[in-house]
Formats: sequence, C-alpha cells, structure tokens
Amino acid sequence: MHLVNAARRFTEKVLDIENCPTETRIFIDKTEKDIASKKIINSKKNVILGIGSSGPTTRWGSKNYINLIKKLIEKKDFFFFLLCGPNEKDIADKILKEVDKNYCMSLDNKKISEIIPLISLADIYVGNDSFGHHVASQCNIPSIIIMLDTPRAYSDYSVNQFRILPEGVNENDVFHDSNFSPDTIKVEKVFKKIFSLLKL
Amino acid sequence: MKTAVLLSYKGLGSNLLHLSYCHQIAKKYGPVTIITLCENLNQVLTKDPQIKEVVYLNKYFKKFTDIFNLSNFLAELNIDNIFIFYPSIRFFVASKLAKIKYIKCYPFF
Repeated sequence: MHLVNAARRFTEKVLDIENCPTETRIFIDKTEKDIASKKIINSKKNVILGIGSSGPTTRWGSKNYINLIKKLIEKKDFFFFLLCGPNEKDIADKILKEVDKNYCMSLDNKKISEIIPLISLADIYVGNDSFGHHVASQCNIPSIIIMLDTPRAYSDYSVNQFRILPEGVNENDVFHDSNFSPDTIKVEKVFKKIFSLLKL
Repeated sequence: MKTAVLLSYKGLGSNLLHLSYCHQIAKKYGPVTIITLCENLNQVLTKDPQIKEVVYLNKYFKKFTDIFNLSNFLAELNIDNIFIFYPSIRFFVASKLAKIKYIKCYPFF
C-alpha cells in the first residue's frame, strides 16, 4: 500500500473533494519558536542532520556523516544539529569525537516538543528517513532524505522532499528490508545536493 | 459533534505523513481528535488549532479478541464520526459496536 496515495484517495472520497493536498503546515507556537531561535546561529547555515532513525538499516552511518560534515565546513560556515533519540546517543558521540563541538550539537537529550521549533528554523534537513524530514518538509524547509531501506511513499508527498538513492537504484526498487549498504550513497553526492539546494 | 481520525501507525513520521488529511477533515468537521498508536504524536500537535486532542492507543490493537475492549475504549470517547486510515476490520467492527454513527474506513480488500 502506497501510504500517501491511499490516504489521499480515501480523503477525496469521504470528503467529496478533488486534488486533496498531500502536505500541510505544522503549527508551531511562537513562544517555543522564540526559545528555539536562541540556539540558531544566524551567521551560519544551520543543518538538521538526521543521524537517527527507527531501525539500523535506514541509517547512513556515523562515518559518512563525519565525512560530510568535514567536507562542508571546509567550504562554508555550517552548524549541525545532530537529530537522534536518547538510545542513539552513541552515533552522536562518535560524530562529536571527530568533529569540533563548535560546529555541532546533539539533540539526543531534547524533547520532541523542543526539537520541532528548532527544525522549523533550520536551513535544511539532511539525513535518514526519520520524523525530522516530515517535520522539516511541512515547515517549508528543504529536506534531503537518504533512502536505503524505505519505500518512496514516505518521501513522496512534499515539494520540499529530495531523495538521494543508492547508485544505479530506481526509487521504486527501495522497500522496507531493501537493506542497501550505506556506502552505496556517496558523501560527494549528498554534499553537491546540499550546495545546490542552498544555492551556495 | 466529535470527529476522530484513527491512525494505525506507530512511527511519528508515518503519523505526520497523514497530517494534511487530518487538516482537511478538520476543515469540514471542525477540530479533530486523533487516535494513534504513536506515543509521542501529542508532543508535535498539542498547539495545532485544528487538532482537538491526541489520544494514544497503547493496547487493544493486536488481537482480534481485543475488539470488545477496543469498542469500549472508543465508546468512552463519545465520537460521532470516525475516519479510519487503515484497512482494519477490527477497528471498523469496534467502531460499529461503539455505536459511532458515521464510520469511514479504507477498503478491506
């Protein structure tokens, strides 16, 4: 079942409407946004790096993220928010060990209600298929989704979603349990996409 | 009139992917109650004016025999309309047993 097509068709039928929008805007409280804005560094490009996800097979891996961060900060001023859950802290720790803390911070100890406004203020989301890209794309923030093990439906409903697929793989050939190796998506490819979307 | 949307998905992303449809239903029926298997969806939607409440369903959705417990759970919510975003006979029958007047569900087959 294609989640988006099924939901859109169902809604159109039960409400008797045509062209039901597949994306909306996530409502964020102004006070929470003001609090989050204090963490944003205006002189830099703020990137939400979705390093965590619901399962290990959807993760691009700390090594690739470290290489991406190093490559990006060589070229421009970036700040990275490492988005992961408390049980994925080890992934964030591996990155923080290799990258200067002036360039990134982990969100592993933050509540979802604190993270949402932060995502809404970022310049871009880059990462695994995680809730972060659903929030970002519906906050009108461009989202690069690294697709290793997720059906296309999850990134098929917003103009702000941009998929990156393993080399030579069609988007229709990625499913749950596809289990493509993280190294089938090169750092260079993600790097170029970020620069192109941010018009750098 | 109380309108509910049932999202039979555990992941936060899968739930957020359905937000546009919840908003469309709210446009016609007023703010909706979302019933979800996702523990933390309420943290995202508490301030959304089109969402009346988020109810976390953490039991009664696995076994067919849970259907009566599920119907009691739904009956307590005093729902008039329910939109079930999943092809679930269990949720459909439980909604019928809960005497919800207007029930719409994905096709089963």
